[in-house]
Amino acid sequence: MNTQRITIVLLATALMNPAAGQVVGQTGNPSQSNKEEVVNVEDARIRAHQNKDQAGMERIYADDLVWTFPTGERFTKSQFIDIIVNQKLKPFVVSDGKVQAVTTIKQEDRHFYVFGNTVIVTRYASMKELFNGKPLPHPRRFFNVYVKEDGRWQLVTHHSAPVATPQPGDQ
Amino acid sequence: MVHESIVRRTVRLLLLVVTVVATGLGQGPEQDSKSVSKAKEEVLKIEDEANLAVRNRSSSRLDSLFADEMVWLTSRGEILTKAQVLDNIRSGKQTGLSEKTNDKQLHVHGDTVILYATTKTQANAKEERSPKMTTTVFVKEDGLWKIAAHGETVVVPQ
Repeated sequence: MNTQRITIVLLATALMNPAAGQVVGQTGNPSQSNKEEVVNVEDARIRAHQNKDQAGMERIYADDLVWTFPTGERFTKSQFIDIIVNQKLKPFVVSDGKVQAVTTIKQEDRHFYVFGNTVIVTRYASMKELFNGKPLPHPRRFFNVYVKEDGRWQLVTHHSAPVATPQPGDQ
Repeated sequence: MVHESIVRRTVRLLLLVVTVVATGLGQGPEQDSKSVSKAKEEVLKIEDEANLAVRNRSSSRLDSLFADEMVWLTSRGEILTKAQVLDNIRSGKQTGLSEKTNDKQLHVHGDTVILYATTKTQANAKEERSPKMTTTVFVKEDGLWKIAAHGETVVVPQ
């Protein structure tokens, strides 16, 4: 009977351990698995941006998200979602002297860095953008930080800086 | 008689499990709040140490404070590796982290802490006089807080 008791208490303790759930579902190399999961979430985030999918963004962005623009302005989750949904931020290209809206976001020079349940994505963005009708500095580089909490990956911060020396081929 | 005894024992065991679980759940928010405060305190200490190490150009101390795969985004939009940042600090080219901050905000996500600050350049201020918005990401590796990412953006006057 003592063995039974010990087993039940150990089981209850294991269930209460918040780390227990994180191990479930990870097979092979946890670092590789985390990277693959974040690749999927980052792709889903970009689709949500392109489609102005508010629910999709609400799901991926952490409640205390801070989004830093290449101008140094900072926005909260609700402010940034408002910017996207209400099209205050508009990617564009100039072709034959005409300004054309961009609907597909290019994935340039994307890298993933895994730190356990934290994954950092770096990217280069050559596209031009207008924010509230004013051009934003471009090109730019940024990092996105994803954290896995309660078994779910969420974007907790985005930090962007203008590139002083653009890559060859950038407009 | 035997059946009754088994039922009684089972009920006692269930009560024990419920008590253990309930006790654990009851401590949750209080423990969370304590661990958040502790994480903030520890991270601010690491930030102070990093500031001091940059000022003293102590690359050996910084080596232990930076995660090996650290990502450093400069205000010129370059991504530097840990080795490049350490080289820059040794040669005095890099002043990031040693700058005075006007405000600090910490966001805690378990073993990840994000520090947001606004800085003014104190040294080597020839090129960068405007305030900068900085984001520094700390992660806990083997029980030690390390800097996993740092980003700086010069504030464009509106």
